[in-house]
Amino acid sequence: MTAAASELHFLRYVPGTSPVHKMWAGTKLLVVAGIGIAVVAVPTWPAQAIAFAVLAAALITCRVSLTAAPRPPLWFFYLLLFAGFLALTAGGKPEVHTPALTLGFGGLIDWIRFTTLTVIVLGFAVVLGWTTHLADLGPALTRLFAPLRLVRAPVDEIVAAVTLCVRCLPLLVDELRTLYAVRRLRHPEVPTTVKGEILNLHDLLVGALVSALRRAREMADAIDGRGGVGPAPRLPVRLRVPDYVALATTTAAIVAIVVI
Amino acid sequence: MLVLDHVGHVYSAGTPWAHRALQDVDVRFDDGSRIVVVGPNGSGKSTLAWILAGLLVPSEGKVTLDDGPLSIEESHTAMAFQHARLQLLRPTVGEDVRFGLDIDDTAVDTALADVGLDPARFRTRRIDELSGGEQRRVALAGVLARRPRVLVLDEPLAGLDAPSRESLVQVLGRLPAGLTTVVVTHDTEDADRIADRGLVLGDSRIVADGPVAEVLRTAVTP
Repeated sequence: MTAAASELHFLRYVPGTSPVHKMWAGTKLLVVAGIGIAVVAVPTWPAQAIAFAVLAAALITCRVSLTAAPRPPLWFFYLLLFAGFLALTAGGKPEVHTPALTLGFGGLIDWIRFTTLTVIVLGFAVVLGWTTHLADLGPALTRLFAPLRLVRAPVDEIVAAVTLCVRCLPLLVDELRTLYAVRRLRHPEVPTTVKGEILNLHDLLVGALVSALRRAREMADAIDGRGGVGPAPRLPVRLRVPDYVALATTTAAIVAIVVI
Repeated sequence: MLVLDHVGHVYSAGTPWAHRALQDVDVRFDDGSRIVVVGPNGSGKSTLAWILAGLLVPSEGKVTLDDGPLSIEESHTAMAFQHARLQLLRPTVGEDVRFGLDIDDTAVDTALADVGLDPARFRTRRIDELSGGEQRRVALAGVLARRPRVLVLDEPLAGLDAPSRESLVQVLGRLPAGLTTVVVTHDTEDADRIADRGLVLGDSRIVADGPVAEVLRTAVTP
């Protein structure tokens, strides 16, 4: 028997009454998108420091215990370290010269920069997940995408697709858990060859694909049964002080990222 | 003998989502015993099923089979899940029963016959052509072919029409004699035909344990 050593809990809501919890979901989406795009477009160290400062402020303000942080499995960290090692072998400037060899750290520095960037962007997504009910995302997206109606973009359909994808995620995770359990029970022998590993992965992926397709079909039938997608809900938006503070901070951070 | 020694389980322990699913379950199952586990939603039935199948390590207590650890690797356990389609991992019935095993056609035919399916008709049938009841029986044939010592069945009768249900009840009634069978279900209608002992879970604990007819008479299941 094996214990579940890691727990991801991605996009899982933590009940609370913090200012971040009280913000409109659309504000949080704007903050995540704004900072995320800015820091990806300008991935310098100062830009990452600014983005990290905003993330730290959000983490402190949302008052969620850090025990809620995703705990990736150990192999994930090994994989990350291996990627770092590969980046180191790529070389590049700056270089350190010794009598025996020359070491280039350019690749490693790029890898560190990319990794910290990913952590920051995922950190924002985690805070969004902790403080936002999934059901609030649909109405918020409807408001945020409203300008796209001017160019006849299918806003209702886009919002419905995004909302359904997010809602389907727990179901899919549950089915994948069952698939993995079935595989373990019916083929408990650990593969010892590359071919065995590939076949193992193949079984899981095919099962996951079949499961996802079946779920998608069932959901499509359910939507048809209720008369189609219909217009997305347009709930009134009531911005409060935390929303204005977050939007002002984000604007200042984006300007600083671009200017610095 | 399968022993659950003061078993308890807390999901997501140490996080804001921590919740207790099972508490102080202390039971023994003799070899070949047939047990039905009932209880309302959230009472811990599925958690108990996963622990009995060896898929989940309880956060408290221990599970042993003949004083040794319960092992999936040694095929001590098998589990038939409610959604049979997720359990069928190969395109045809024969290939699926054989999956993960080194067995010949005769053994496949025996496994199919054990679950009441005619091998000549079903061995080459495609999985997607089967009805829900047939899929469930093929899944059962697949797990029985591994010759486990403990078989856990999660809602085996849910969603079946009357004829499929009756044939599956008959199959469950004639499972191999030494096989310890634990049926986790909401459905108590035919429980006395597939089990001789009943456990009722409530608030993550065992609240009743005894002869199935007696226990189910007092059980409150929504």
